[in-house]
Order: sequence, then C-alpha cells, then structure tokens
Amino acid sequence: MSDEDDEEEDARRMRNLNLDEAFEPVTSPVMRLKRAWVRERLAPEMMTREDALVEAVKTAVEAQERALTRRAETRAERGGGAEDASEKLMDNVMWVEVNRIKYLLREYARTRLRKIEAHAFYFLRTEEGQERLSERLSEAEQKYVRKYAIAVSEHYENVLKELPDGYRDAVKEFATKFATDEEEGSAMISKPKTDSFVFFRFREDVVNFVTGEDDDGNTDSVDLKRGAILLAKYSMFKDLLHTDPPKAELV
Amino acid sequence: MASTSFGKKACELVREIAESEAGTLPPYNQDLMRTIADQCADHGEAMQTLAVQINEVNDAEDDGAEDADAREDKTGSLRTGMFAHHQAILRNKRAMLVYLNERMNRIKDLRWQIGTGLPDNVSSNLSHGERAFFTKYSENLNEYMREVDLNLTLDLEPPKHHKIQVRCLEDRGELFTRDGSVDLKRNTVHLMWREEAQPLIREGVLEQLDDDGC
Repeated sequence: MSDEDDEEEDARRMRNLNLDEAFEPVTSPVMRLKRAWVRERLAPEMMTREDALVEAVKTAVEAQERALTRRAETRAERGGGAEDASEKLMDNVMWVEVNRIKYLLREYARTRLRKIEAHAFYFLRTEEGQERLSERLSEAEQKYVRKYAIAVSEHYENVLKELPDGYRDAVKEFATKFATDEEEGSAMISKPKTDSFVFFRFREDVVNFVTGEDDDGNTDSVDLKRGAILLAKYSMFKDLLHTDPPKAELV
Repeated sequence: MASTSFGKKACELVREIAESEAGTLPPYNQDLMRTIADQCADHGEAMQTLAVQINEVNDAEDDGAEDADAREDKTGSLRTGMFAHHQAILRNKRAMLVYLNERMNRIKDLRWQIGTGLPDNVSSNLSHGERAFFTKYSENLNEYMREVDLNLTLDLEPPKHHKIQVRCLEDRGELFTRDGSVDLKRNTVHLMWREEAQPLIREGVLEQLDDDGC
C-alpha cells in the first residue's frame, strides 16, 4: 500500500520536473506575450490575437526607451563620473532587454502574418474560415488578408486566363456555371491541419476529459495529470488551451 | 491539332523550379508557360470535338440501326477520351500553379529580406505579373506596419546587442542618428544602433562586423 503511494509520489515529482517554472501563470505582460507567441507558433490554426497585451507591452517598451534616453542625456550633461560607469552598464543591460522584447513583438506579428498568408483563402472563401476570421483576427489583419488574397488571385488569374473556359479560377480546379455546392471538393484551399500532432503539457489535473465518442454514444475519456507531456492530435485537447488560465500549453 | 504530350511540358516546368536553388529566382519561363497554355487549349478543343461526337451518336438514336448497348459502348469510349483530356488540363493547371506559387513565395521573401526596391538583376527575372504582385504585396505590408506602428522587417534574427559595429562599404555622406550624426565614408567603422543600421546593411551600404567584437 505504502509502496504504491511512494510510486505515485515519485511519478508526481517526475512530472513536476517537466513544468517550466517560467511558464507558470505569471502576471507580467511580457511573459504572457511570450507564451502567446509560443502558442501561436506551435498551433496549426490561428489563435486569438492578444491585442490588449500587445498594446500594454508596446506602451511599456516605449516608456522604457524614453526613460533610458533621458538618463543617457542627463549623464552626458553631467559629464562622466565613477558612479556613472555602473549606471551605464545597467542601462546597457536594460537596452538589451528592450530589444529582446521588441523582437518578441515583431516576431509575434510576423508569425501571425505568415499563418494568415498560408490560409488566406480559407479565411475568405470557406464558412468555417470566415467565422475564425471575424473572431480571431484584428481589424488590421483582416484588411491585410483581404488585400493579400486579391493580389494573389489576380496574379494567378492573369496567367490562368490563357486556359480554356472553366479552368480559369484560381481557387477551384474546375468551375462551370452548372457547378453546385457538391463540387466544393474541387476547391484548392489549404485549411489549417487541426489533426496534426503536437506536444501538450498539462498545467492542471483534468479528470475524465472526454476525448471522443464512438457510434454507439460511448465516450472515451482520459485522466490528465499536471506536468504530463503528451503527443496528441491538436484537435483533441485544443479546448484546454483556451481556458483562463490555460489548463494546457504547447511545447 | 498540334501534338499534345499530356503533361510532359508541365513536368519540365515543375522540375525547373524544384531543381533551382532555394532562395534564388531563375528567369520567368514565359515560353514554357505559353506552350503549356497552348496545349491546354488543344486539349480543350479535343474535348469539344469529342462532345460533338457524343451528341451525334446520341442524336442518331432515331435511326434504329444501332441498339442501345452499342451506342452506350461508343459514347463510353468517347467519354473516356474526354475525361483524359480534362485530367490533362487539370494536371497542367496544377503544374502552372505550383510554378507560380513557389516563385511567389520566393518573391515574398525578397520583400522581407531586401525591402521595397528590387535590384535590377532580380527584377529582370520576374514576369510582368510578378512585378505587379511584388508591388501590391509590398504596399499591403507597409500599410499593415503603419497601422500597427511597428517595422516588422527589422530583427529577423533574435538580437544579441543593441548596438552593432559596422563597416561602411560606400560613401554615403552624413547620416543623422539618435546619437548625432555619423559621416559614412568608405572603409570607416562605426558603432551604430541595430535598428538604424539594419536597413543600410540590407541595402549593402554597411557590413556588419563580427557580432562578438562589440
């Protein structure tokens, strides 16, 4: 009996080693942005844009930049002294940090743009995509994807116009005026691969998480343990990413 | 009817772009694209002819000379022919799109790496449509960056230092920076802010010296 308890205790300790302390729920906006960025990079589909967070971090960075510039100016007026040297060093360290955060801001926006471009026609031409578009993309991003799609399809159609009638559409393999919804299969639109495999790390114990249902209505469920890392289909546990605070994260 | 090689040319096209080195942009193969489009037109014509023949067989129904099975046989083989031509066009179209798409991705990368102005030697390898696409893509990106008030083309690599040491490769005259003005003369070395130096490095005016040196 006590052996079993020990074993369970060991397993728990091992799982805890998996947890990255820095990734525990934190209040710092920068850490939250970093997490949003990691999640955005690893998830096959578009995540909600962390607008408020981006703004908060941007304002903080700008304030810090101004403060550092001011300090450098007053130092210059004062002329160099012994205590200035250590202040200068501190400032350098802070500049490095400011730059890292700016890189994070840029990389976050770039990651999103890359994903938007890859699935531009999915966002504009499919029903599911349009829903995602209005719920997860910022206004500027929506504008971007519209213009991008126009530029791409104009470019394609400019070449495809040489083909016989019916084959000139940039998004459909073959389209006639008789085409119905059943022929949607001919659409060449790449969708986010939500069935691709990703690594989940669970931050909380989740008991009896329902993973699926078979034809008879029986449900499959698993008990998820805090700290466990699991390779699974993205679609299986994606809902846990969106709880607040998230019960799972991608690694 | 001109010879239709059923996708041989299209295969050539895809091979050309697949075998070119990643990140380079070979000249736009207008001739081959033209040939493939012509072939598609031929396939289209062949389909039309077959469609007419099918109609003829069906219209001959009243003659009573042929029974239903024989007619079915005949139209069946004609339909198979049509289907083959249809698939050939789809295959060609797919190949053309693969070619265009791969080039487009490389053109997009150019916007991120080089900036809004394409050097002549690159620009001459682009088709007219591709140049138009580059301009539109570039404008759209600029507009987005204005809206979010962040230059996204900076810091493509994680930063190590906030200032970097650069060597000047050509005479540029005076440049006003945050720290005052620098005189960019050939072969002079400066310590500059990353953000201010990066666009000039991309233009080829400055060269970054060893990162660990600063």
